[in-house]
Amino acid sequence: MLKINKLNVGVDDKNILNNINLEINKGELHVIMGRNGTGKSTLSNIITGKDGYNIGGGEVLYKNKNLLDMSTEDRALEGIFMSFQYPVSIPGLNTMHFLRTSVNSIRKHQNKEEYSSGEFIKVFKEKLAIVGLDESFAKRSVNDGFSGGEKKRFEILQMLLIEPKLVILDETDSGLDIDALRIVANGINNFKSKNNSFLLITHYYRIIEYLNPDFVHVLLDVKIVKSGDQKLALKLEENGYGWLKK
Amino acid sequence: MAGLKNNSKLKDDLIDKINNLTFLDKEQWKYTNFNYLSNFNFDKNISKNSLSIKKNDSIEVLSINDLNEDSEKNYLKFFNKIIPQENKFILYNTAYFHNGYFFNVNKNIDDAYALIESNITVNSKNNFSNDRIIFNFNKSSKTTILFNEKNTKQIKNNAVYELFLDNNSCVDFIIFSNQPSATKILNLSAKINKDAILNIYTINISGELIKNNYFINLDKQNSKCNFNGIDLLNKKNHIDNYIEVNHNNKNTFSNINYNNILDGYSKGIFYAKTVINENCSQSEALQSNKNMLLSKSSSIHSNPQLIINNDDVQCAHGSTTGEIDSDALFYMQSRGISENKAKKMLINSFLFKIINKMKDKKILSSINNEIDSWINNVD
Amino acid sequence: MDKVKRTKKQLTDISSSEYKYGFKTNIEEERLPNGLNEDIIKSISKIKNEPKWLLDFRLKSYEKWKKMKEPNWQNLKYPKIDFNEICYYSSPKKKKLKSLDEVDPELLKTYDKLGIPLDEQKMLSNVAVDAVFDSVSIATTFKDTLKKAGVIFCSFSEAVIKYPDLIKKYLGTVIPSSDNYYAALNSAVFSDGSFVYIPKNTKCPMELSTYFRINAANTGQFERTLIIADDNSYVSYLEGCTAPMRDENQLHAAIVELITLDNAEIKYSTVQNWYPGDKNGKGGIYNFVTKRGHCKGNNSKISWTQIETGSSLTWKYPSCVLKGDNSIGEFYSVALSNNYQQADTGTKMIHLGKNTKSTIISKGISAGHGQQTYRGQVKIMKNAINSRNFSQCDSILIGSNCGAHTQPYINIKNSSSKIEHEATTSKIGEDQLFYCNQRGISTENAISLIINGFCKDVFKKLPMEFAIEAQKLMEISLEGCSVG
Repeated sequence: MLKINKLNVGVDDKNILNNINLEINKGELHVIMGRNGTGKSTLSNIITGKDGYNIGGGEVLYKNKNLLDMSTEDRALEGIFMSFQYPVSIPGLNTMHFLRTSVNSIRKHQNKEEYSSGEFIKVFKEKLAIVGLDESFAKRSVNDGFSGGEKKRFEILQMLLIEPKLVILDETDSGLDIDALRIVANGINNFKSKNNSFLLITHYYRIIEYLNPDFVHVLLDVKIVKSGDQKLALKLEENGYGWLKK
Repeated sequence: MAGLKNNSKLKDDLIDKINNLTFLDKEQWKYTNFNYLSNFNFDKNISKNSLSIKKNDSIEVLSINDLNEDSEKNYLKFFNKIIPQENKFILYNTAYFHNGYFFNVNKNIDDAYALIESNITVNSKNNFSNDRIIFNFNKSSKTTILFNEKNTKQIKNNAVYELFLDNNSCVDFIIFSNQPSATKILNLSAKINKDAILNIYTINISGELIKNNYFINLDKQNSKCNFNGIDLLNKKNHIDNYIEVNHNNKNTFSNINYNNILDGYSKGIFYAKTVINENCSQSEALQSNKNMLLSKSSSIHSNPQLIINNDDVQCAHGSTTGEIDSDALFYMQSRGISENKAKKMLINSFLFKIINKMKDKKILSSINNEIDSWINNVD
Repeated sequence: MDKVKRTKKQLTDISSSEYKYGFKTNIEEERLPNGLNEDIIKSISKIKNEPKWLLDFRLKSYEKWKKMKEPNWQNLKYPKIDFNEICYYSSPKKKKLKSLDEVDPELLKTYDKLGIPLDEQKMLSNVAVDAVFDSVSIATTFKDTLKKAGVIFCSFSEAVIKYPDLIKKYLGTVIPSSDNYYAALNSAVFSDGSFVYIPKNTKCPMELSTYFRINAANTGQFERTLIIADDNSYVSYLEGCTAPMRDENQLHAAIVELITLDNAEIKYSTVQNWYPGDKNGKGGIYNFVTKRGHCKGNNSKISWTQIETGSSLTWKYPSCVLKGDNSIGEFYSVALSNNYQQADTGTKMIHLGKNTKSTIISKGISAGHGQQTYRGQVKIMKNAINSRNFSQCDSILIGSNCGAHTQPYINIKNSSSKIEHEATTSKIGEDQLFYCNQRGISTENAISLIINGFCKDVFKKLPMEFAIEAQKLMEISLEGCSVG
């Protein structure tokens, strides 16, 4: 699904990611852990195509196509979805209108029939229940005045509606209380299947417990310094990152 | 050595210009009677030296009459270079100024300080005195300038200040005025260079007729201006503030905060015009004007203008006018504070938050005392 | 790889959309020679069979106009207008139409193209239309239903003949002919317009609508609208404007006067989509309009909603004089300037009565080389005890060659009043675009979504059909504009 080979990334003169190699296959869930400022969010921005980075070398392949040549929206149309760490608010833009435009753009690209307004409301309500949001959401503006928890649930709602192939969860668990965390994790598990892949970026073990990842990678000082399974995450939770440093 | 004021050629030119000047920026003078002011005399020599200046060694102060050939050359580099020329009172000042000073702040110092007090002793009646002061803040200097204008006499003053902030300099420029019978016209221009910061604090407690015009030019990248003003007006006080900020480069920042308290029959004017020119991307401009009317007969005119010619900017302005917040008053009363006391506390906080960033806390506290004694006279 | 640059290129590649309503109708027209003088005014009055008092009103206004100067305080740049090069009257030759059957089929086709449901069968939407085609009101529909309710809705010329007392009583009372240069000009040469009277205790049974369209070359359009809502009445009035494409600039100087008596309400909505000129700023309408409402009665309300996407110049300040106690004035505006369009628009809220309230919501959008100025005044007079105003003026800039200016004037002479003014200027956030892109929405669609969201507070004040039209109009007007 996603293959990153020898990727180097910088901003201005600073090296942010160095020689990153990562392969995510269909049906797999990978976790990237690491301290603040180690380039975790840079990696998700590179995959989704945010501006402002210099690619120093290496390649990122998605379904064997060069991802770096594609625009952000084309990547989205091809099935890449990111749950944002800090979703931006768009005052005045109605959530329903936004969601339907988004979902229908993607469905159209996949040669699926676009949802009519009535059909969409049905699907919307169904998914809304999964993430535990009430119907008044349909009347609000995108992320405008949402609490931290509402924003994250709204991101997961979009994932459920868009049905992407590759999902990047950028610190989706931060700022959530226990109940909200369970709801978000349930939403993810509900959607996870043999046909899609996940990349989760997080600081904490608690969400990992819910999601049972296949691989855990540690990003330290611009490099992936260790990879393992769920036990690695547990060890980090207990001992911190100190032991990984020489 | 002859000072500029004795340069007869310069004077004749200007007198011609003044006589021929028909146009005035009407917007700047919309709420103040220009004709009334221009009927006074500006050309009489009232008092030779009415300014007392205290300062430390980081600042060199030259009187215009003491300039030698070299210092005059230096002086002329700054004199009349940035002040707008279409304003009649500025031209009068240029032609007839008597209290002329040149402040030169050394570079790389962080404690420059000057206190300027006016002590006009003569009751000038129909004659304006003309002060003209140039401030040159050299590279990487940190300075506090305080004008302490306290006077009960019917003084008339037409002042022009020209400020030059070189790279990385930082200035707290404080004008404190408590002159209930004063008629005052101030024109102030500032040119701010790279990484330099100008913090203006203007505090006007009463005043018969005060017209302040400020022209701030953010000329180089990363220059900043924080403009903080408060006016406390009662009786028939009339204070008209015109503040123009020109963003002339990228990454420039301006923030105007002006709060007014009006009592009696007073009239206050807040007119701000922030211009962000083309090619000045990544700039930010803020304006806030809040007014509290304490009496039925007071009035306020608020014109917070933004002229934006670039899309990569952030701007916001706000203006509110009203009585004292009755909810806050009630809340405080419910905590056992008397209505009168609560009212005064609210007025004080309304004003104090504008000036509390002032670096010199001694000056701040003495100004705050003056504010409090004014507030204590409010019913 | 610079994605933003690529998007920019894609956007500029999309050819900017041509003016959708750009066609002209070839119909025989009757027109007076170009120029402005007493004889022209007398001729206009004579063609229209006007009584002497109206001719006198025109001539007096002309005398005043001659002594006045063109205003120059607005933030608009344009070459001097030669008022003697303009034709002040033109009309299709056929006249005195009783039913639609008599209307020139060419004209009807024009209306079809404009999407005006003049055809009775199309009148399902319950809209009564008074169409002003150049200078003469052609046909008014739904008259009978309105008649039953006692509502008068007819062309201005007809009202002068049929209801002279009402016209005499109210004409020029809200906007005196000496009010400003263009008001004086209109008062001298106005050709036609609409007249509405809603009698006491009446809710107008349908939305009233006028479509204005400038057709003939070199004709200025000087229409005049007068709406009176008597005690306890209500009316919602829609005004739509289009004009064909022409190279030279055409002048439009209209007057709209609204009067509400005790407990009455008028809701006046405008969608102005006159020819904005081409991509290089050639041609387009000069729109100098004076609109003012007088809340004369207690508890009365006047609400202006405007969507201004057309014209190369817009000079327009729909205002409210809040004289009656507890009266309410509202102004909701979306103004868009793309290419070389310039708009200087806003409102005046004059509070005279007790407990009067006003709300101002203004959204300005500048793109291309467009220039936008919000100019507004809130004046609270001494006796306007407990009056309130809330103003919000937001601007959004798309591209780095445009400008957005906010010039509010707030004058308060009463301490019991509360006034709040807020304004922001911003660009479309890169973060917002990235977020939309990440959800598979193209940059162009994202801009349109964000702008429509930005304008939502105003759109929701429009009647439903108009709101949809307004949204489409925004999309068309924004096509081809680029970010950054």
